[in-house]
Amino acid sequence: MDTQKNKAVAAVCQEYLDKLHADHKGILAALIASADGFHLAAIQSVIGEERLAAMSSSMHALGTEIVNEAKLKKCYDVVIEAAEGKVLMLNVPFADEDLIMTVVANEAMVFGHLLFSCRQTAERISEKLAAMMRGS
Amino acid sequence: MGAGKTTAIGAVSEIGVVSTDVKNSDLAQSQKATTTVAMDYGQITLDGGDQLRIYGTPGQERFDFMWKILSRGALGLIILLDNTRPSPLLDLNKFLDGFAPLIAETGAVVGVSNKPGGPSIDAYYEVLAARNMMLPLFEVDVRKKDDVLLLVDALLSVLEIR
Repeated sequence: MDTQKNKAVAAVCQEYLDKLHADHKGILAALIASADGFHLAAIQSVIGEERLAAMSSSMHALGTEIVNEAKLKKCYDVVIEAAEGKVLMLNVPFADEDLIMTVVANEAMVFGHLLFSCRQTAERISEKLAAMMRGS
Repeated sequence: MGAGKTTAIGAVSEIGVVSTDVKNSDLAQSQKATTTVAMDYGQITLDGGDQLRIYGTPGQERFDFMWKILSRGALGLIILLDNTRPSPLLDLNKFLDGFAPLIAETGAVVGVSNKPGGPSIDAYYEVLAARNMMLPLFEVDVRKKDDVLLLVDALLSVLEIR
């Protein structure tokens, strides 16, 4: 992907992450990363975004591999439940290699609500990016 | 990155290799189509019947948390270097630093791709000598099972004499 397109993709991702964060104060960190662990967009992070992007890529890849071996077709999300919050890594369908959206939330966030909002955000990003690619 | 870790494990593993390769977006670093982002996993059976588990780590420093994770409980380390990269001697230093605790506790061997154009084998030995680490070092073609098994055998020998 050329630099111009990269910037446009990053801008779309950032816009939706900002909105997700504005709507949910319990979100401690969020980012969108490429499958090989480079962040395209991020909001405030309790972990550095470069590190979180790389770790998300590893976790998602391992989740994908387990799903493949268990013959469960496709890995959508990886969920980490912690003593004081949760981490979600979701698939964002895009072009020939999906992006990964990672959200870190504190324990105040109800899991179902968090999952619903994150999935909705991921879908909207995917649709907007697809429309953008069709238009170019 | 691109030294052939995934290929090497694939060359010797008796089981289908567990692989976490994804599309490489960092073409400035390497022209490879894919890159490992978590780990490779394979198995071989040793002469005595013991099973050896082989793990491949991502090579890029941004995945160094995987180096730490996969070092836990490891018997030893095989470092694979791509002789055609811009600075393979720096790569060697990077891995010697990154895996220092594991190397100190167990042992290591080094395999250098036998592709022309890069530093000589003597140059690699000089890096090791400067660090007072005389590790076994071999030129290898990781597509060849015998070359990869040579590295495994060398590592097991190093571990035996410690």
